Amino acid sequence: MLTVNAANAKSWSEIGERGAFGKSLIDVANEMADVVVVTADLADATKVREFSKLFPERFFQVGIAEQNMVGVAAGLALYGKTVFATSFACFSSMRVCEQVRTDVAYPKLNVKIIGSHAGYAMGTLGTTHYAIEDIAIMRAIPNMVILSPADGAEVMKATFAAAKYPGPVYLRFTGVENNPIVHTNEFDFEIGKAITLKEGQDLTIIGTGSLVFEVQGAANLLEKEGISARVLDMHTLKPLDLEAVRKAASETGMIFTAEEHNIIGGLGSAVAEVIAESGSPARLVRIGTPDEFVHIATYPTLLDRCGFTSEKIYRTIKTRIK
Amino acid sequence: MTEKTRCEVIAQIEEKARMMRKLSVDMGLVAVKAGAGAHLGPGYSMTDITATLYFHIMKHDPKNPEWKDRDRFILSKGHGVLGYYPALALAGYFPVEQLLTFDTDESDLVGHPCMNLRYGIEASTGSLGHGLPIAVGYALGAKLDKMNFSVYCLLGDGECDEGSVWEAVMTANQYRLDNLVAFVDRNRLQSDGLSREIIQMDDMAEKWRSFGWQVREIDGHNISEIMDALHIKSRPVGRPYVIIAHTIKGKGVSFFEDDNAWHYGRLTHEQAQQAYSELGFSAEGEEMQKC
Repeated sequence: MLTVNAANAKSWSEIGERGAFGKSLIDVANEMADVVVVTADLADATKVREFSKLFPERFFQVGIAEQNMVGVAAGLALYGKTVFATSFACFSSMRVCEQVRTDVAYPKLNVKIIGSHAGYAMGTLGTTHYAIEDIAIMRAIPNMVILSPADGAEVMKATFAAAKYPGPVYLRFTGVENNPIVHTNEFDFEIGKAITLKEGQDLTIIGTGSLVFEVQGAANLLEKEGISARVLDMHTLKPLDLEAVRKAASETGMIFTAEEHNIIGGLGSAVAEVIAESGSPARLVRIGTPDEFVHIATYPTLLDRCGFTSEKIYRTIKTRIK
Repeated sequence: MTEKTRCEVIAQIEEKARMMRKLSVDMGLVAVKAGAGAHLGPGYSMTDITATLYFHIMKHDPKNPEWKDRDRFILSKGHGVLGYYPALALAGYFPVEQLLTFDTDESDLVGHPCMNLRYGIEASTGSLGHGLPIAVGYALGAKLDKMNFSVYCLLGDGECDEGSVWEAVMTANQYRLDNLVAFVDRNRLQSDGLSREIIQMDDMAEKWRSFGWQVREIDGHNISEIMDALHIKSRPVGRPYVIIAHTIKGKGVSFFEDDNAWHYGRLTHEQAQQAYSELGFSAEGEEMQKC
């Protein structure tokens, strides 16, 4: 497995989460001979072109036919392969929802569904290519594991973890090139186990994917004012780390969630369910995209409009803790 | 194979098919007790095909259902279980009595196949347009590992309305999957009625041919023609193969035939008695004494 250090983190950042995925996949494929890839005319965009060149016989191009891609992936997995099926998150979750649910999740097949460009990463390419519904959709499918890495290093860890996990996984990649770096040192990555990036007593901020870096920044701004914020990197959205959420609720009393996903059905909803059912009096504030089709804009503009920068998350938190 | 032996083989398959249709009536009655109906028409139209596959063509071992070299059968028209479960039972994947649990609580034999290798069920199907892509994936995996088994996939003709079928058809052509054999059960009826009045699919053979497949059209109830179509010398090299089987929905029991009420229907006791007798059994479904 590739090692996490400052130099690697920098190069993974430059190529973005999907680029880091493409690199990691080569490593995975070298280690695991049964790994194959299926794509639907998005080999370049989902960064599996290099894989296709190194392992041409293990690469299957089905054309612009996502439903078929997932069915073919299911067949390859039934035969005994570990399959990565790659497309944009909007198509991986919505165009093929039923194939994912019926062909892959129901028989618990060894298929890893790649959803690249999740959230608003497509910017001015527009709403047809946004995916702010994918976590909600995948969460509602039994047997599905959902991984939402925070940076290139986590993409690498998640790709390996997914390959070694015997069952369906949805890998959600957010952001674009030159994405922020969260990890520069080795760390343990375990499916279903949140990473505590910063300890804190006054409140907890739980981030996932692209917003982990931003909530770290918000926590640092709060720290300067003497507000001690715990930061959890929730790289696994299903199965959720219930213990980490319950602990945060009881020890800090107030939880903020942040995700580049609809405010309905994603991380915030998952955390709300845990808090409500645990009988905890902890307060919860969800930060996510509005439940509407936003006016199309560039990616940074949309992030800013949604209040997803460190500064804006910090301000939201300040307003809500008063 | 001598002509006599061939006749014997055909008679043997026909006998299995007759038994399968009888067992389907048993299952239809069980389903009624469980408050459900059964897809008798869709099962009967494909029974001669599955009988020929399971009792003559396919390389498989019910005692070793996970055998890596086995031929795979994927029922893309998942509602055709009455033409499928009886074949699996008679082949020895599970006791024939198990069929009488059909559609009851706790049964593994439900209205659409639920993947269960122990029972010989290779994939969970029932959502139309899913089975052929899965079969293509299976065939690609086999090619990758240079395995010699065949993948058989049975589709309904109404199912061919689904766009995902044609996505898979194109992939099979692109990868020259000559280890894949598809059947189209061309009974010309679907849930809402006559296929030609819903979506006109003629010329079905030409459609597949123009997508690069080798096509053969047969009478899907003529065991001899099914055998010939599946003979190794009939199989193309370097391209996928589809057998358009012209069938009659409900074939084998007069009042089921071409009556779409039996697409999914509930048998009365009297109807079951008549079906049994037409299939050569006593009114109670017992085997008649042969003279």
